[in-house]
Formats: sequence, structure tokens, C-alpha cells
Amino acid sequence: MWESIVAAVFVAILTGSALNQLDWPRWEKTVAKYDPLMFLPYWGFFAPDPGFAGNHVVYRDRVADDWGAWVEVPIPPRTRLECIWNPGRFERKALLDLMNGFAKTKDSYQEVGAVQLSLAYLAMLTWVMAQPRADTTATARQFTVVMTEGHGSARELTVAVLSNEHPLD
Amino acid sequence: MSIPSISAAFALDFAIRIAAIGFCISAAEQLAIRRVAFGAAGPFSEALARVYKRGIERHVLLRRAFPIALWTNLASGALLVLFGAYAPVAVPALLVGLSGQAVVRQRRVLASDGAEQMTTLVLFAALVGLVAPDHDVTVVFAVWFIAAQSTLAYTAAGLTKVFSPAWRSGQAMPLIMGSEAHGRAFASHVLNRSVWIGRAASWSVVAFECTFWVALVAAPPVTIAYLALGLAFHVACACVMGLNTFVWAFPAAYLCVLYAAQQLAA
Repeated sequence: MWESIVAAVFVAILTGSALNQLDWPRWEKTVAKYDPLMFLPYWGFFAPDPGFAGNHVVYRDRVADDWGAWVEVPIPPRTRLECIWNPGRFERKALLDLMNGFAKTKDSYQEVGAVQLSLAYLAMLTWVMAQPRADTTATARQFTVVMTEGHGSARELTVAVLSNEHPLD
Repeated sequence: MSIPSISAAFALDFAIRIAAIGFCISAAEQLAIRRVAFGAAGPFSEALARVYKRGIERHVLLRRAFPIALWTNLASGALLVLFGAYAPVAVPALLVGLSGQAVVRQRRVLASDGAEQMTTLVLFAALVGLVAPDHDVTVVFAVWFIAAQSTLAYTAAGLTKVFSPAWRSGQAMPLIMGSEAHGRAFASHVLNRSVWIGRAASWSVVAFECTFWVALVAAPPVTIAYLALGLAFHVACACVMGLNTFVWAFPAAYLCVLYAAQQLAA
């Protein structure tokens, strides 16, 4: 009895895991609905898109009619010890996930002129709007995501996302 | 070369202890960043979880459980590392650890990775295998499940890369090494010296991943060679790319792969 149940559980999860590797929109929708914690794995590992960019979120506040300086949302830099201890990876990966989510859904939202309603944009906006204000009289905030390629002096920067002006409470 | 035959029980014990090391590191890392990253201005704030409609505002228990879940994850992981699969504490520790992980993931919508998924699957398989009253057979099932999941992981990753233009052209590794997120200047410099070095590096990864299933069906020395190569690959990824928990999550499954290979050979 126990053996049959355990075998059935493992076969079901393996089948689900195998299906999760296929680019099958109907299955993806079902999994997104019933498995929000992503128990069923997707084993892409830097594929199909190898992910070649670094990301930085910067924002600026408007006080009266003037925009202030751009300030970066603090994300921990990489360290030499990261092969053993790498707490900063969570925040860096969060930004990477947001950018991947944004890139994936951008076209469909752009078609109907509603990029700012995409989940990734709203999440990024929530994160940015929660950053402290340098000036308490600031009335609006704008953010941008800057993508980098390369290292050191060879680094190239591109503006990947430029938000509208969002009122501060 | 004679390779000693291993039992399913030993393979599962090894898998639990090694996966639990990664589980502990991950929990400790999240504890280290909890005030900032899980705070109001962090990427794992309650407000951000609400954007994804995780329902945390409706579940009082979930909200109360979150502050202690990272601590219980760390404690249950430590118990599993120390006492392994067959101590009386194993099943309760697996239950507490997996429940804690679910609570944390409910709040931390973003930043999951393959290592976290593999660790969760190994610990879940161990729990399902060990929870049966007479678990000799179900432990064997759990070991086969972990071996199959590991083989699926590498093979699927390899096949996805085969269909990716960036990987097929050999540009993927130089691109990844050229990125701030996962690359290193020295590695980028080496891979960009010649187009052939970049291609060789990219195709080595693709070839290793695509053919990992061979480890299951080949003679034991070939299996050992594949597993040693896999370990070296994950250590290199940890040192260069910062993927520290992959070193524990994936090699945790290696004795299960060896067990399955030995059974198939027999």
C-alpha cells in the first residue's frame, strides 16, 4: 500500500518536472496557477538566454520643479568569498528575475499600451517607491534600470527601462 | 578499478546530509540579509509579495511564521547534517525544514534558483521515502527519484542550450563571463582571447550536460568520471560565478546516481 502511494507520488512529480521543461504555454499557465512556490523545477541554467547583463536600478525625486540626483537602489556587490558565503546573491537575483519577467511580458503589454501594468513593472515600482526620500518635500519619483555589459573600463551601459513620473504619498 | 557497491540507504543518507549543508547556508545567508532585503525597502518586502498576490495579508499564521521560519530552517538543516537520514529526528526535521521553506518562499517571491529547487526535491524525496512505517522499499524509490531528477536536470539544461543560438554559436560562455552578474574580468579576458576558446568552453558545458544520462548506463568507472567532472564543474561555477549552493545541491544527488548506475549494471 505505502509502496504504491510513494511510487505514484514520485512518478507524478517526475512527469510534471519533465513537462515543465517543455515550452508549452498551457502547461506553464497551469503550473503558475497551482504551483506558485515553484516546487516543480525548470532546469534551464543560463539557457536559452545566457543572461549577459548586469542590472542597476536608479531613481530620482522631484522637489518642486527640479529633479534631484540619481540614487542607486542598494544591491550588495559581489565578493571574493562568494564561493562559500554569498548572501548578496538573493538581491541580485531578485533584480535579474524582475528584468527577465519584464522582458518576457513587455511586448504583450506594449501592444495594448499598458507596460506599467505588467507584474514585473509593478513589483519594481513597489521596490523603488519604498526607498527612503532624501527630501521629505519630494512629490514624485522616477526610476530607470541601467544594464551593463563587460567589466571595468570596457563596461557598456544601456537604459533598459525608464519609468514615468510616479507621485509620492 | 573496483568500485564498492553502495546501498540505497547510504545513498539517501549522503544526499540528505549534503543537501542539508546547502539548506543551512541558504537559511543563514537569508538571516544575514533579513533586515534589509526582507524589510520594507527590500525586494522581499510584504508589499512586494502582495503585488504577486501571495495572500500573505490574509494568512495571520503565515505572517507570524515567517520571522521564525529562517531560524527553524537553519536548525532543521543542522540536525539533518549532524544526524542524517536514520536518526529519530530526521522525519520531524525534514517536515519542519520543508514547511519553513514553503513559508519563506511564500514571502520571497523572487530569487529562487536551481540549487534551491534541487535541495527542496532531495529533502522532499527523503521525507516521502522515510515516512513509510517499513521504509526499505520506499527509500529505494526515493533514491531512484533523486537520480532521475538529477539526470533530468542536466539533460534538460543541455538540450535547452542546444536549441539556443547563443550557446550553439559558442558566444554564451564569453557573454556570461563578460557580465557583472555572474562573470569575472579574468575569465572574460581568457574566453575572449580567441573565438575558439569561447566555443570550446560553451560546447564543453553543452556536451557534459547533454550526455549526463550516460552516467546512469555506463560502466562504473565512466559513472565516477562523470560525477567527478560534475563536482569540478560546480566548484568552478561557485568560484567564478558565485553559485555557491549548487556545489551542495547537485553533488548531493551523485551517490543516488551511482546507486542507480550500479543497479542498472547488475
